[in-house]
Amino acid sequence: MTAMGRSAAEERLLDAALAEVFGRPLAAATSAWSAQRARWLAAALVLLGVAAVLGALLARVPTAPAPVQEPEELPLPLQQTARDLAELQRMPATTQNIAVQFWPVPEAELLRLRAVRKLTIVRISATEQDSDVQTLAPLCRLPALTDLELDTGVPWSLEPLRGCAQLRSLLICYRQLSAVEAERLVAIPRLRELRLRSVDLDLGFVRGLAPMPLEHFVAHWCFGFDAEAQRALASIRSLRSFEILTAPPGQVPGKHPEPLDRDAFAAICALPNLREVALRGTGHVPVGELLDLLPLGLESLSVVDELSKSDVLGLRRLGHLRQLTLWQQRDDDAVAELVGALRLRSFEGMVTPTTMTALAAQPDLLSVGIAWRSGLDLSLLPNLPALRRVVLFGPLLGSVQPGASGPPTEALEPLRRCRQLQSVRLVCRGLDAAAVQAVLREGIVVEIIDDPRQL
Amino acid sequence: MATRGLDALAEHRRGLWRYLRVLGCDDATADDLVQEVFVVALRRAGFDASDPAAAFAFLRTTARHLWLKSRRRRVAEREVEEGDRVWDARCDGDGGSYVAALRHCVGTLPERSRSLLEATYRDGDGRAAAAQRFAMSADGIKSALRRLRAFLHDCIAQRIAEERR
Repeated sequence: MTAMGRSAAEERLLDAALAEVFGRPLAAATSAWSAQRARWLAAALVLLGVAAVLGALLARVPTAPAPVQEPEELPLPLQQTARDLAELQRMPATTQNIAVQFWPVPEAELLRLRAVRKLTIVRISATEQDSDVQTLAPLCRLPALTDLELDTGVPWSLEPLRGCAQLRSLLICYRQLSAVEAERLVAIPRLRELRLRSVDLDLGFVRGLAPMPLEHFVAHWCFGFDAEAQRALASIRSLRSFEILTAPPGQVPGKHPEPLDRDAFAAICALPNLREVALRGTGHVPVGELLDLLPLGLESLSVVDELSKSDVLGLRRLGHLRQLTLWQQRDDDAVAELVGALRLRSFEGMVTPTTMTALAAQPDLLSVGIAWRSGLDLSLLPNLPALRRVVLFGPLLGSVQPGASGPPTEALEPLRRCRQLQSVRLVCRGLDAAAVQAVLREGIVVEIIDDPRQL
Repeated sequence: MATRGLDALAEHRRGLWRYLRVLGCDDATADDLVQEVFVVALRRAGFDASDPAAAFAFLRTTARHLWLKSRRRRVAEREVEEGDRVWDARCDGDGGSYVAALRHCVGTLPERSRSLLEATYRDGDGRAAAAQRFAMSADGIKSALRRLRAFLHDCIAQRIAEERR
């Protein structure tokens, strides 16, 4: 026992927690040398001969060494869209991420797709508009389904979803939500993420979610999600991430979603497990007032609103941030200074040479998503030892200028030298995947997205 | 199992590392044992990572066993039992609530105290370096850190008790 009457184990627990709170990076698979490893040395020597042969073979294929464990979750493969049954039938049984533009799908066909992890129902046929309690029931026969997007105003009961044993994430759109629907959602055993878009909800719905160990809540353009409903959300103590998209009063004609209430947001930020916040549009002016409320332990932040220089620099206090999305059009020096003060694993936003230099000094950066600008130089990216994924946003989203183009393939040449790079995603039109692949190293997966709905 | 299994296991990485540190591992050994525990789990045919509580219980038991095995009885069973007792008393599940409580408590400290903790636990300053940085004597730094740790222990215990109420 120590002088304060505490055991050594208690002191060690405090030591471990202090190391975490003050930024000790948890070792990746390639952790530092330690005595523990010494006993593997003998076995390693025995295997040296075999390794030499294998090494010679592998040297012919210059792929990056795969780590024992990926430091973060691998993204789903790109979504495949089936516009009709024939297209769905052509998809291999191993397809994991599917969008169907019709529903219901014949049950036999659905059962063939046993590997599906994410299913998006984009459209329903006019003949299926009538409410039917069991219409969604076949979904529960997909054994790997974890992520369901009802990306259209489905009129059917959510009750059958309680049978989806692995379902963790659900998107609901264009629907009235009250306490009855909340009860249905609470009954889904593993549901942890709820994403709502263009729904009309009431206070009873948000209060009804309280018994659920909800971890992620997304509200995009939700009507009725007023200050009281937002405060009710703050009673869900398991909440880990919060994302909102709304608008200031009067900005859109007619009915508009309520802005983010400052006091309610303060209560959400005080939740003990909150680690991720995405403010895609708050309707609150100035947005800097909200940033002051963010908890010190925040690990992921996404802000779309344009921030002042002091707002950007104020984020330096969030020393635990590992994922940052900041679509700043100006004050590039401030963004670079902010990046320099953090130890990031992921960054997404506008990049200029100053920001690029700051990013290139990030030892843990696994993923960068950057807007392509003519003349953007990617030659610093090979300096990033851990870089796994690169996303380049071309002039596809927002206002598409006729004649505007994404990066010329020769601009991607530096990515060939990124030793750990696994995938390059190009979000723009007019690029040829084969030409891009020819510029990059073998083994790097190239994805070209020319439809924003695939994002 | 492969990808989903690794994904599910990765969620337990921090908790497992904390637990091993409480048992008495140093940082690097805890890192290594976490890897070894995951290898054991991945090789086990019936291992089900879909229930986080059950999965963590299995990983914790495996970690405990590997730690004892690696020390070849140079660590007393009662020390490990003490570690387990502290873990069960202070940490819900993976210890995330303990770390969250610590974050809260650090947030309530005056700026100078926070700076001292940062210098010690983030920058790795020893007493001499910290003494120079804060214009104090080395003994003064030692006392200040002892007081800070005592405060943090009490504050965390209070915070956790409030959370459980």
